[in-house]
Amino acid sequence: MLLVIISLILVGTSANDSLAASIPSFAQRFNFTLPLIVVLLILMFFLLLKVYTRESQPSRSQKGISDSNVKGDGSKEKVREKV
Amino acid sequence: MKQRLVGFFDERMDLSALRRWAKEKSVPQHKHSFWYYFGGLALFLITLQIITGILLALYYSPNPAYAHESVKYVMETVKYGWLIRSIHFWGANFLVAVVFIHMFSTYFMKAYRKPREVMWILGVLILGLVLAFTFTGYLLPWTTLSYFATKVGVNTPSIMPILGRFITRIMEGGRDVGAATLTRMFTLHTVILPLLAVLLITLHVLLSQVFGSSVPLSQANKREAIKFFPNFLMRDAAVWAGGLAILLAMVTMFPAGLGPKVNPVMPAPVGIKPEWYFLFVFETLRRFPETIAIGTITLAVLVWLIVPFLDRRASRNQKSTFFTLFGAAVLVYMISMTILAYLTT
Repeated sequence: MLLVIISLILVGTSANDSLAASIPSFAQRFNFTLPLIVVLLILMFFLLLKVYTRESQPSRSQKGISDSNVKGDGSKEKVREKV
Repeated sequence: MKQRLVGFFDERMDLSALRRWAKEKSVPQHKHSFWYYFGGLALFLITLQIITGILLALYYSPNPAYAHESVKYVMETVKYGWLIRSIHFWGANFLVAVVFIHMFSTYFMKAYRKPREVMWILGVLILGLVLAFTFTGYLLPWTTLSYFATKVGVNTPSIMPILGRFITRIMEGGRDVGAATLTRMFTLHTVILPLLAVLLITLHVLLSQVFGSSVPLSQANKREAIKFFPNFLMRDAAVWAGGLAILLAMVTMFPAGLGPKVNPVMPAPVGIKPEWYFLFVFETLRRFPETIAIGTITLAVLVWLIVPFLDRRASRNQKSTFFTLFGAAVLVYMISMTILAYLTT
């Protein structure tokens, strides 16, 4: 997470900013995109943490529960029978 | 709310098949699973390119008198125009890189082997389309560099016998790169290629759902898998978030530039080089006689396209060292030619 932000700051200080007079300066661009980048990185870590939590739980087969009538969240599902 | 929404559609469309698919679909887990994420990342970047492309098209004018000014207007006057164009510019570069990585990882894992031959062919065609997108989009800002680079690009096929000159004439729309070329490139970039891309990508993704992810031969005895929904999808989404964060960092550090407007009467600037993904072709054309270079590249592309039918050992789930070495040779050639082109002035 920090790597992207640090590289942004490091490269940004030496960036060539002579593109066009009306394009926002590096500082303005940085102020706009940094919150977006931080949100994206937090989202990324949140997703990875959620996946890790889900995958580190013992599977249903390990718990000795059959797959046939158990829903994804672990609750029992009504088994419909064909008439 | 969620339950009511699902119930609404379930009542009308019977979502049981979709629910069963989501419950049953799994993705193999082994030491090469990392490469599976590049397909999803490519799809994400294509979506990003479509969105930013539509936004840019709202302001762009495909006319030599206004093209450069319209891009300048987007960059300097339109609110967040610099951001949208820079995302489109860097997104294209990322997309080419990701599609190349996806293709080579598929190749080295021999994921093209039976029954995924058609998927492979579609994938190679999609890479061709992505490169065509970059080529047609390059001329649109109507800068000195884009004009003369396109001039070299459209003239390259004319070396080929029989169809060469015809292809060049079709792309130019006249005797030289001009207003007609710009209109044609714009039409190709925004209408024809997107239609083809939607068709090919839809087929590619549908087939990937039918066949599932291929397991490399070396990992064939591994039986571990994770559920696609939601586990793999969440991992995929995390990769997309990380990818977008890096893309935004690049956009902030190096926003897309806009060179001077072209004056077609002026001579071409010295030392023009194409974008990094065309450098190996550029260097090949420079180092070898044109006919031999074009002939060899065409032949190599054809072989690459039909490789699943040539690699019979992989189809029988046997190791095929020859094709691994062939792929490695192609990769080494492309990288070394790219480096040479960078180093040579």
